[in-house]
Amino acid sequence: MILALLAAAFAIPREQVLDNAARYASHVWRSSADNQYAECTDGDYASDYPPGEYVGLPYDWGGYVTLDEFDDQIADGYGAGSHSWHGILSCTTGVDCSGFVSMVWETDHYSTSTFDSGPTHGISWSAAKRADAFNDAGSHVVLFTHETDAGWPVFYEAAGGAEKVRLNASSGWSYVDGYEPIRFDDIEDGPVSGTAGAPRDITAFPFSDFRWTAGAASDAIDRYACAPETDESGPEVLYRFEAASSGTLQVVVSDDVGVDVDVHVLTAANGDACIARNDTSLSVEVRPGTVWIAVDTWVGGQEFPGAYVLSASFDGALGDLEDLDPVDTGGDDDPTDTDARDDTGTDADADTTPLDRVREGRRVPAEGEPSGCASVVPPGLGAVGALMAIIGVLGRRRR
Amino acid sequence: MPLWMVSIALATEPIVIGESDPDAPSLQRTEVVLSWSEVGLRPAAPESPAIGPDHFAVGPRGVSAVYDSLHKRVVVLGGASFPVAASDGLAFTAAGVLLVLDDRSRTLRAYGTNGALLDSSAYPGVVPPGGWLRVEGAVVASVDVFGNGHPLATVSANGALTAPTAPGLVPAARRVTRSGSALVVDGRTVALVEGRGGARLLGDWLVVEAMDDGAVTRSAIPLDGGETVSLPVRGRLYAPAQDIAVGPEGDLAWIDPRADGLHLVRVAP
Repeated sequence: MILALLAAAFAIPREQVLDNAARYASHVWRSSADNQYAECTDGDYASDYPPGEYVGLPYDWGGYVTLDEFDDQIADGYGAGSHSWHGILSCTTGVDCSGFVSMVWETDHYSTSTFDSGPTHGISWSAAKRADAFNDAGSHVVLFTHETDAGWPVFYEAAGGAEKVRLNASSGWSYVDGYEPIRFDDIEDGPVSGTAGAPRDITAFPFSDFRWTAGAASDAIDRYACAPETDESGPEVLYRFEAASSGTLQVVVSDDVGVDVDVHVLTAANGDACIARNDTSLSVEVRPGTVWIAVDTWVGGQEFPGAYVLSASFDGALGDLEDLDPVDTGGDDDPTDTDARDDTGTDADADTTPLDRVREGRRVPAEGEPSGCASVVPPGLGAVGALMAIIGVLGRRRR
Repeated sequence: MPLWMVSIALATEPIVIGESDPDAPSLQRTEVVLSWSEVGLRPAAPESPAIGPDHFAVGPRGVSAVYDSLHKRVVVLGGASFPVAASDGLAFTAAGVLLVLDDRSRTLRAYGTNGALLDSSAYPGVVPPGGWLRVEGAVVASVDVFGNGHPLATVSANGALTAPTAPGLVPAARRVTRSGSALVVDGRTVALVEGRGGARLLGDWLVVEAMDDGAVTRSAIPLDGGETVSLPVRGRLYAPAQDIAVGPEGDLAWIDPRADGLHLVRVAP
């Protein structure tokens, strides 16, 4: 029981892994003349990224960096990306396939050859779930994102041929023919964000998010003032961002077969604050302040929940989001959820979330957290936890 | 045997994969081989899979083009090869204009088959990444995994691109769903897949993949009747991101990397 509690306290939710991956694939950065060369090599190096603005981190063989670390290194004139034929270079930046998967799992840097002996275990093909990976030892690894209602898979990967981290929705199962499905040892199914108390925060545009209203944590809004006759009493997912200036918000929602979700723009997390809605796309002027987007399940005799992709752009300035007081929306009350997270999806006892550390800087351990692979004592577990740590039961790093 | 195909014509009678409707018209098959000196292939290295041509497209009157990701160029069969910094998808218009999707700079570019850059257009921020480039009439769209199109631009016969003025979505005209083991299109069971596996629509073809203990089989079924086509599985030499295409005339084509070169196979009714 204690072991289960300890393991759960250290686990990373699948949703957080996928959010981490999306940030790598959608990270906007600018290459300059300083990033075209690698000063630490006399070899034949030229960056794949001529000066300009790009979306998605470059592929960098041997690379394993956080987003802030990447930004700092680009600003410092590191070469943007590299390939195996350049060798592992200390003066280039980006991630390779295994560095990317290690980083989004928030673990130490493993290669495709060492995942097996590291923090993963093999699983069957039928057992593979989102945020698991398909690994070809010695060659390549991809993160399994989800599959459509028709069973077509989508992956995130850092691909050398594509020179970047990308969402791969084209390749299908044959892309991973012969790969081994693996699962990170410290992964868990919940909790799920998207409620009024724990919305999905948008911190950069363009924004894109694959998600599901089936099983969504919020089912609190049934009607919207924009279309009061329309029954939206199915489960919804709530997003928010902070508009620092007025601007045009454009939103498109695309749903899977048998799914009917609609998109709403709100000035507060309730249906009365609706300023625009549509079943697929909309464009609306928004004022400075917190802007909410609700993707809600339409009900017409029956509910039509399921998978969708939400994409959005905003041409105004973004501000910093304020922390929310946890709001009990009734969605995150799974009695089997034994981890130490509160309704906001964060560690109740930590100042920063692991995602904050991925988002905001190098994987700097939280205060008091060891920087190596040492065992640690989870806060609040006192002597029992200390004993466990001492005898090495945990044997893994707290992220 | 994890996969059985059911022909459209015989929707209630399963046919084991590899068999075809004897009354279906046979397909015309053409195959061209590009040597590895014509298109780039870098062999696998430790912790790095091989890199080769990553995308391709087929156009009108038999024209084809592949993106040589190693040399960062587009190679038009029997025509020009010209530098293109990045490609996340290729497609031809019915008029023979080649479109190149670049997700990393969110730009759509139009080329003539002689390599002339005809136009370029930044595409809207509301287009999600990872789509499949498709041209229908004058509308160029990125097709998401659900089959819905996100308009990138309209294209004229001479390759001029015009970005959309408002966000929009072009819902899929046909959709595939899986119910138990049945893959269903337009209310008809088209194929049966047991265990992990699935399908997506590509023009009027249904590409079906099934898995048996990690080994994948892949086929394409013409939705309007005809012979089921067995497709090669990626990864024997390297794994292209997008190795299947449908031309403006409905013909199916794929690239198949082999030791002697890149095989471009095209089948048409």
